Parts: sequence; C-alpha cells; structure tokens
Amino acid sequence: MNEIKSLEHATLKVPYEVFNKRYRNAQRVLDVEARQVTTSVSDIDSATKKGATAGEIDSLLGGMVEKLTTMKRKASEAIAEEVQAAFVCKKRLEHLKEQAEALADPNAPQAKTQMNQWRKVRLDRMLVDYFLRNGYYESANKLADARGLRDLTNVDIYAAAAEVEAELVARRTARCLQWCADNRSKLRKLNSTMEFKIRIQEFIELVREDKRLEAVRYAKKHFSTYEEGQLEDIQHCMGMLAFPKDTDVEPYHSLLGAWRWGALVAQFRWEHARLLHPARLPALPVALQLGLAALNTPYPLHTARTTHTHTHHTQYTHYRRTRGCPKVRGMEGMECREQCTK
Amino acid sequence: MDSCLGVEQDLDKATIKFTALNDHAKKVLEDVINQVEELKKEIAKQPPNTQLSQSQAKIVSDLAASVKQNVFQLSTDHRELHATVSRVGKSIDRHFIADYAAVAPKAETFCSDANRPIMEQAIAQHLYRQGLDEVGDSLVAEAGVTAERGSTFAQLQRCAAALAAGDPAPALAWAAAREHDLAHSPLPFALHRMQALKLAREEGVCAAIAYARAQFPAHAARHERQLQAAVCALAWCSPGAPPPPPHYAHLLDPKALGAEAAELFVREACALLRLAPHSPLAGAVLAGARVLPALHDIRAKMSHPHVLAAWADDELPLEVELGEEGGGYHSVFACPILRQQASEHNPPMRLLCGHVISRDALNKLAMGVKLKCPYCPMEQSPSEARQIYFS
Repeated sequence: MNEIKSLEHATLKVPYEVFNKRYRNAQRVLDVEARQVTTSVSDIDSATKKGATAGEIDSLLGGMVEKLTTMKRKASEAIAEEVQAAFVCKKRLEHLKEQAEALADPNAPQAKTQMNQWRKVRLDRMLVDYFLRNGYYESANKLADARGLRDLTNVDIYAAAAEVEAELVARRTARCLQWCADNRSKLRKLNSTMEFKIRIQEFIELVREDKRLEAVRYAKKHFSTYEEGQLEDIQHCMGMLAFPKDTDVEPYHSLLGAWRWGALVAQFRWEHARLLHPARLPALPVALQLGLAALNTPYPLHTARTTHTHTHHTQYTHYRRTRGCPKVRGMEGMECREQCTK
Repeated sequence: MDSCLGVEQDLDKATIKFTALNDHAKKVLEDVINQVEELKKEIAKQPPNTQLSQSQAKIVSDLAASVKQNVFQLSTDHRELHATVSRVGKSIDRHFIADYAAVAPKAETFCSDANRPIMEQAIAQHLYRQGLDEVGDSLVAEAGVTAERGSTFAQLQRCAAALAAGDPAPALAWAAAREHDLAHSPLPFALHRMQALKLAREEGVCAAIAYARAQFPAHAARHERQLQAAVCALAWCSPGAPPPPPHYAHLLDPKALGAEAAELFVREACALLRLAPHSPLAGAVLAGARVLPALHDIRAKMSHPHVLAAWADDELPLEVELGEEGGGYHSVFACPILRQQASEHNPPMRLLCGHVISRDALNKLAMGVKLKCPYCPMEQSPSEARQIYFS
C-alpha cells in the first residue's frame, strides 16, 4: 500500500472512462457505416437480378465507392480518437511511475527532490480537480496552464461541461438535454432525475410566457411516460395551469422562482462529476481532513514506528514483526493475530 | 510500482491492438475501394444502355457480397476489442483504491456550506504563496472568498522559478542582500556553485574557475567536500569531454541541480521569514496523503478473513492486555500444532511425555491406537493423554 495506490485511482479512471466512451462511439460509427454500405450492396444485388443495364450498375457502383470512402474516413477518425484517449491514460501512468520509482528507491541521489517536486504537482492536480468539480473553471484552466498540467488534469474533459453550464445559466436547455441523451444508460443507472427536471423547467417557462396550450402539449409529449416518484411534481405542474403567473400560492410560487435554474446548474455539475468520477468527493478535502486529523493527533505516527515502549495496549511483542504494516494507536495487536493464525 | 506496471501491461495491450486495427481497417477499405473502382471502370467501357452479360452480373454480385462481408468483418473485429478495453478498466479498479474517502467519513463536512469558504480561503492563500497571483485572483472572484495577497511571496517564487529554470542570478541578489542572516545557511554556497557550473557550461571552464576563485574561499571552511566535488566536476565541462562518472552526474545536470537549489532556496527563505516551508494547505494535504495508505491498510486488515473469523468466534480481532485482575481469565493456551486458541471443545491435552497439544491436534495425529509425539520420539496411545486445566 502506498500513496499512489490509495490516492490515484481517479487519475487513471477518468481518462479511461473517456477511452471507453470513445470506443463505444467508434463501434456505433462502424455499425452505422457498415449498414450504409450494405444498403448499397443490396441495391446492386436486386439490380443485377432484374438484369440492369451497364449504366445503372455503373452509377450504383459509384454510389458504393462513395459510401465506402466515407466509411473509411469516419472509421479512421473514430479509431484515431480512441488511440488518442488511450495515450492520455498512458501519459498519466508515466507520471505516476515517476513517483513510484522514487518511492521504490528512496536512496537515489535525486530521489528526495524528485519526490518533493512530484508531491507539489500532486497538490496542483488536486486543486485543479477540486476547482473543476466545483465549477471554478477559469481558476482550473489558469492553474493548469500556469503549471503545464493540461495532460495530467481533466480540464479538457470538463470544457464541454462548462459550456453546458453556461447554457443553463443563460436559461437554454438544448445542450443539457443533448448531454442527457448521450449518457442516457449511465444516468439511468445512477437514478438521475436530470432530464425530468429540465423538462419540468421547460414546462414552467412555457407557463411563465403564458403559452398554456403549448405547455399542455409539451406535458402530453414528455410527462406521459413518468416514473415512480415523479407524479407529484407533474401534478404540481398541472396545478400551475390554473393559477396566474404572479401567484403567491405555494407550491406554484416557488416553481416559478429563478433559483430553480441555479439548482439545475448545481445538479448538472454533480451528476456530471458522478458519471466521470468513481469517488463522490474530490481528493483535496479528503486529504486535507485526514491531514488535519493527523496533525492533531498527539501521538505522532513516526514515533510509534521507531519506538516500541508504548505498551499500554498490548505486550505480545514476541510475535510482532513489522512487515511494512503501519503502527497505529490501539491497533498493535492486529499484526500479531494474523501471524498466529497463519 | 506494481500497481502501475499492472495497469500499464493491459493498457499497452489495448493500444497495440487498436493501432493494429486502425492499420488493418485502412488497408482493407482501401483494397475494397480499389476493387470496386476497377470493376466500375470495366463496366463503364460498355455502352450504358446494354444489358450485363451473365458472367458480368455474377462478377458484380460476387464483389458486392465480398464487400458486405469485409465491412461486417471490420465492425466485428472492433467489437471484439471490447474485452481488451474493459480489462484496462478492471485493471485500474484492481490495482488502485477507488473509494479513497471511505476512511475519511468526516471529509464531507469540509464541503458543507459553512466550511467550504474557509477551505477555499486557505486554497487562495496557498495560491498567492506559490506566486500564482492570477490564479488566486480568479479563485477569489469565482468562489467569492477573501484572501490576503502578500508581496513577499511573489518575489521569492520568482527567484525559485528562475533557479528551477537554471538561472541563479535573482536568488544570488536576494541572498547577497541578506548575507548576514544567511551566515550559517548552506544556501549561498549552493547558489555560487550553481553559478560557477553555469559559467562553465556557457562561457568555458576558465570563467568558472575565475568565479570560483572569487567566491568559493569564503565557504571553504564549511563545505570542503562539496567544494572539492564542484571543482572536480568542472573537468567534465569542457566540450568533447567523456560522460562524467555517476558521482558527478547530478552536479552536471543543470535541471536536477536547479530543482534542488530551488527547493533549498524556498526552505531557507521561509526559515528567514519564520515560516514553515509549506503553506498550511500544502502541509496538511501532504500529511493527509501519508495517512491514507495507513488507514486503507487498517481497513483492509479489518475486513481480512482471519479478522472476520475472530469476530465470528466471539473474540476480539486484536489482543488487549487486561491488567492483573482481568488477565487471569484470558484464554492462555494456543495449540503449537494447529496454532489455535484452546477452547472448551478443543482443550489442551498433556501427552505421556509431558508435551501439551490441543485435542483436535491429538485426534489428527493419532494413527489408530498409536500416537507419536510431534516433539519427541515417544510412542504412546492417544487414550493416555490427559486434559489439563490452567488456573
């Protein structure tokens, strides 16, 4: 167990998710293009069976060449994107290996400086990640550029998210709906309500503009296939139709509130991060909290590791052999137990 | 290291396969296109309104079938890479810990509305302290926090950045102004040494020696060995010199030397200002990152099968000294053969020869009516063993 293993999962997993997504995308492109080519193949088949003229076949063959050429172009584009995503993973892995080498050989002449440098970069990476996940996109970009960390952080991956958020702030939903459609299956796994919330908001906006008939039509189209737990929200929406848009009656008054857009932005940010990151919290607050806790601990870990005089908990020292296991207060016996039973 | 290598292996496999597929797809499609175009040319030779002959029709439909088959093969080939791709993901999950926050249940509170501004203020202060004024300003604006922006750090970080880039001049000027305070610091010598080696690289060894003559004597008493090494290293600075021996390699690598000097500079300058070399944020995060592996280890241990077995047996998974009053009731016999604590169902048994093992071990070792003690060669009958009680 070391600092890389316990802290760097997301560093690799996030670009991997991108890689995986590009793979699926490429598969779809290949399937669609292959189907396009097969339609032209069956056209030719039926034409030859009917006994077509040379001119007809010539033009059909021309169409086939065209389709094959587009397939070639699109396939190589899609596969190149996959390879590029794999290289991003590779690059980050190289960076982690740098530290792993220094950890493995701490007595090399430059190891200490190298380790300190690497840890400085790690803090910068954590900061960028924290900024991105909290929507401080400008700060994230500036920090990544100032330290040359674009490849090692997710600023480019989050650029699309920043655009969606900007659209939502400007009260435009198209990009967000597009994002929901692109990630539908994964969002469903997370029980996401993003799309439903957006639809509700669009309905509210129609009511706000007094296009009530249109609102009803919109509701028919999008709310007819509701899921469990959504009925109440839909009922509130429908109730709204009966009230003027400057009503003080709850819940209709709060449905019309401007704060709902802010909540949508926050929800989008959260769900976007959930899709990408396996861990719910960014690394920074975790490391910070544990660090403060460690600094607060009156009995520091390093003295526990070097002295064996603190026997107020256990005295089974004859069994104890440290095998890289941390000595933590109150846990000294664990090593011993494991040795006995083996 | 193992975890990195494990993932790397799977990732490399995937990259190789994808690159190969890319080349293969290009080649196949190119071939197919060429075939179709050739056939098209062939057919275009005929007047357009004549019917195709039987054989021609067959050639056309054969080609169409082969096109279809090739194209589908491509998409199948790509689909078969799915296993390779998902293996990379599984490998990452296996070699790295996904849920690092599981051991920090209180970290969530740091992101609450009350605490977040405090943390973000600390971040902004850290950024200013790193000399990243622009980033700090933008965070202050985006997060809506306030943070002080000191001017001293900007100058320090400029010097450190110049050092890391290989230029000791600003740091030398800074150190010269504080010569008296730095009398016991290794910093001035490190800077002069860097300057001398830089001169050797840029203006030749003679300039470096002249610089060394002027500057080194003042430091000779405190840094004799290092001084010797630095002067010797000059021997490998002339153009056309053979590669230096490993002992001097790091002196002659400007990047490594610069990084080392920059680190030393920040440490010494902060000491002079009576500050820790790390910002509070950096220090705490550093400590946190060190604690995490230990906590993960404990977590892994607590869910280890042996530990779970101990819990299941109504025992603690760790041994605790109970003091004089309680200690008498401890279960005190562990079987030397089975390495298990003795219990009511598996009590200690004294053999005829005086050695004690547990009853389970006795039953396992017994061969019918004969038992050979595992510690001495004495043969006896299992029924001769007697249960013993500790009090």
